[in-house]
Amino acid sequence: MDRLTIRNLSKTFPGNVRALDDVSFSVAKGEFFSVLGPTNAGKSTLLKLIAGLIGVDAGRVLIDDADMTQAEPRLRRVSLLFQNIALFPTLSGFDNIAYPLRLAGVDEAAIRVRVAEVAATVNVGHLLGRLPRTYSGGEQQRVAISRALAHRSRLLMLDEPLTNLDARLRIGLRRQFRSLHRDSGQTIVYVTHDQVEAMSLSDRILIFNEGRVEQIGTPREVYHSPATRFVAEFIGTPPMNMIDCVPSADSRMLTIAGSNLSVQAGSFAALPDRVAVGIRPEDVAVSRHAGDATSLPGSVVWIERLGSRNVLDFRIGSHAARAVVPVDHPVDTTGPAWFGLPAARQHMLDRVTDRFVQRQE
Amino acid sequence: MTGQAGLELRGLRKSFDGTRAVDGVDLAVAPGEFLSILGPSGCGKSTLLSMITGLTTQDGGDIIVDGRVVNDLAPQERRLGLVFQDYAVFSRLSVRQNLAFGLKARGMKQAEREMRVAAIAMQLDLEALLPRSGATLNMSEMQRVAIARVLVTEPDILLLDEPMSNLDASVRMSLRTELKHIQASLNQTILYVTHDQAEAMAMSDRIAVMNAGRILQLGSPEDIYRRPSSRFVAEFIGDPPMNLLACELRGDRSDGSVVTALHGPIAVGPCRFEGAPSRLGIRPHDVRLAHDDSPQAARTRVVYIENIGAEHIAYVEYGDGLLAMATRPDQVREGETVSIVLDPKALHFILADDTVVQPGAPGAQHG
Amino acid sequence: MSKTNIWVTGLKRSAVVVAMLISFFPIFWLISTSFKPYEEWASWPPVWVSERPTLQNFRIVFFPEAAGEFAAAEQGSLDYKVSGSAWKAFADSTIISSVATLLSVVFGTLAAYSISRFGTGGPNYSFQFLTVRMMPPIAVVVPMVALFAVLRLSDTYSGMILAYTAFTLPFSIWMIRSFIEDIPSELEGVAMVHGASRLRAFLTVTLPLVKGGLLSTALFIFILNWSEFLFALVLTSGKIVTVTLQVANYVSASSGKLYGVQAAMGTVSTIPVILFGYLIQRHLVRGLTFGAVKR
Repeated sequence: MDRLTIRNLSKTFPGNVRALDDVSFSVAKGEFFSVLGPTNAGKSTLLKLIAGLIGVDAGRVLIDDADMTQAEPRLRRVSLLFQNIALFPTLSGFDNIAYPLRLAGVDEAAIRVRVAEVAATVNVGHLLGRLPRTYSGGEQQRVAISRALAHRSRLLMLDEPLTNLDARLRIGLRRQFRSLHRDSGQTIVYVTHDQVEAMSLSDRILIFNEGRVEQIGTPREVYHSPATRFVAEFIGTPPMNMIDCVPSADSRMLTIAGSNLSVQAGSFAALPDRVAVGIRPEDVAVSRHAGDATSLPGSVVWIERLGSRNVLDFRIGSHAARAVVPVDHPVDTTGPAWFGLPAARQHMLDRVTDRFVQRQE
Repeated sequence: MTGQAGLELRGLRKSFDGTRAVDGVDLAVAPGEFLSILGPSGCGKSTLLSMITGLTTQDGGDIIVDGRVVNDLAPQERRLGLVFQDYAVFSRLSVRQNLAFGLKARGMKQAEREMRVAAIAMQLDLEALLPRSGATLNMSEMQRVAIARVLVTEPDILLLDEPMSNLDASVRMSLRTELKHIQASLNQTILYVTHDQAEAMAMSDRIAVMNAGRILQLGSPEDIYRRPSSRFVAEFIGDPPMNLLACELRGDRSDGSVVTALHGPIAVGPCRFEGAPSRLGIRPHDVRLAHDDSPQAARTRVVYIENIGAEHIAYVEYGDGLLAMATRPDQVREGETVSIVLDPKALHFILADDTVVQPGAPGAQHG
Repeated sequence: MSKTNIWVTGLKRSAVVVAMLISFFPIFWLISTSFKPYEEWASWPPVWVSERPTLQNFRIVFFPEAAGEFAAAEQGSLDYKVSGSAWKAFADSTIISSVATLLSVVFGTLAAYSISRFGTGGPNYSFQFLTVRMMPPIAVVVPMVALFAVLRLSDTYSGMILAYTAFTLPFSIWMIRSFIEDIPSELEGVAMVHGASRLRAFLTVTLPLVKGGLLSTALFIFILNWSEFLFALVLTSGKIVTVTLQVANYVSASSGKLYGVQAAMGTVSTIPVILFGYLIQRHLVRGLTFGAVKR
């Protein structure tokens, strides 16, 4: 497949549940494309629409510029790994993985070779003789992944494949997905609610909320230039701090809402009346002394010690925010604490539209 | 005072069909402490929790709450509060009715019930939510209501069974802070079961790492991170996980040095163990870029970079594998040749029997 | 154990015993009566187990000529129907019940699949279907008779099969739907995505998994059909005789109902049902999907 194009896709379920609302995007050959959003945002529905398991209400699905919107699933030749795995319970692991190959009419000898191949990549070769109900969660997942990979299809879609697994297993499988993608050049559409996963695996990410597209971009773009409040607060651990404030008349200073503390603004065009300044926790400059005009006094409420870094829960006035500091940072819950919002790192959100204002270069 | 009781487990055992789900667990939770039981699924933590609450009877061992042995007491008599994984807020009742539920079941009179509900609502900032129906709450509100519903019965200890594992990553952060708030303001003893090491690290006063029915290590988050005592703990804690490298120990044990696939000798402190270490462990955050002419720097090539937003993880060639290194964004590029150095104070030796020791830098204190 | 505990347990146990007695008594009485001679059929005080067991009743069932001997031995005449053959009744009932059960299960499965996977008729459709059936059949007996007369279905096999299928369809849809709901639609989705058509996916993936459910539904429907009396009575006029009608045929003008013979017929007619149940019990296996699918 050279290109998957989705145009103005909409789907409403009975009971007026709008799962998808005018969704458009395209995926290029060999791309690792993530669809990221909270649970129940409509991501699984999107995959089922692309695969043809559900009908669309409006919009088109184009695979290699051929309109597949009404085509039966088997004509679309895409592979889908479901969220709840869905291994055939009466078939052994081997037969499960061989299923798509048998449907395609591949001969038995070639099937044996191919199954062994894919099983080896996710290390489940030793399990294949048994039935799915004897597998652990991680093993089921990997056999399901093998099945999705067995028949080389033009598009591989994965619906939250790692969500139900232990944190530790997730990290290991993430690595395997990554090498899988790099080695095979397979086009992948990957649905998840875990932004770390999306960030670390993808060429581009589509951020999805309540059936609508919030932003499409590379991990770098969505991280450093979020388009909307939702994107800013969804990407990043901890998420971006958003502090309401009122700009001065010349848009050079910002007064923190509900206080008389002011801080220098970054270089933006004329600012609207109601804004929120966005600053990522790792960009907050924490110190025991007052800094420059971008520094504000505050107090540290709690320190989360994560081993490789510390996260400070702090307050400026009545606003709560977070900062990430190295493990041996001197600031603690007692004693003075100053928090700097460097002008170059500020993002400015228009609180009326919930979209970010462009920086003035 | 209620909520501030200690919990002690002595030699707790439970087997199912011949497998030892819990294999001799000893644990003491101090009053007012937040202690996490951390382990992968199948390690026995849910069984352990089930025995503590009284839903399962242990094969052997004692459970002591606030100084009383509770082995023979029914769950409702143990004065423990359990918050389930999915909160189980009654959707057909209002928040107020939810909170009063347990009290009503215990036969408390209406006047006293209302008093307690009002008090807990004020403490947990739920007053505005009291008239709302349980079905209309968002995740954060549900968590507060579920916890309040348990706290209103004034349990000695609050138990939580993986309450955030079904939630989106973004929601979890704020719920964590709220839970810590609740604990701090009420000085409540909390026992928290989870498989997510970041969560346990962020919230706990101490962590008990559990696997295969046993507690492998008990200590503060920092202890467990810096000084893991077993291979399992070393690999389980920390994201990205610890790098494990083949190595060779040279020289006198009291004054030795370690050699790896890329590095020349790195001096380490006294090595008080027998035999050769099977692996050298170093966390990605303890691998740093160095100047080319630093004494122990190694030159290597960056194969791949993972962008996690606030930092990047660079994977560099190392022997026949890759070494993960945490860097600031855009500090290095893919394909670039760099010099790296391993922090000698942050090395771990994994021994043949899977215990771990930290040799420290030369001249370090005796461990 | 405390005093009250013993009382409570004793009370619970006696309640169970009483319930069992009530449930099994009719069956006991049926079998016992089928071996009783004429005098003991309706005697008072009741004879629990016959002192002079006889196979006379069974002979009349299987060899209608024996009815003649019976008439000669006792006073009065016998209804001509008594000399009808029970074998024909078994044959008729078997044909009608089996075919009707098959049709009911097949159509039920199709409808249930449509309701489950496509949401046909809305979320409560199968329940609505069922409520229609809750109306007592006797309320529609008269219109049914008239309808059958017009359609020339009275006293025909096809007529009876049609009636039985129609009246058991709500049950089969209700039951089969719940079995299909247990199978996640993603399993079919996997098959379809990998190249199977929807029909093929259903036949190769879903059907094997609901096989046990379909068989238990079939057994239930078969029992309903086999023991049905009302429609058998009004929709036939002699050419077709089901086992239920045959039981009702054992009356005589002078002796009234021939209880013993009826009991014998009743006893024998439970055998096919038990046989059916025994044959399919292997397939009534639960939990096939256990462990292969996460919720």
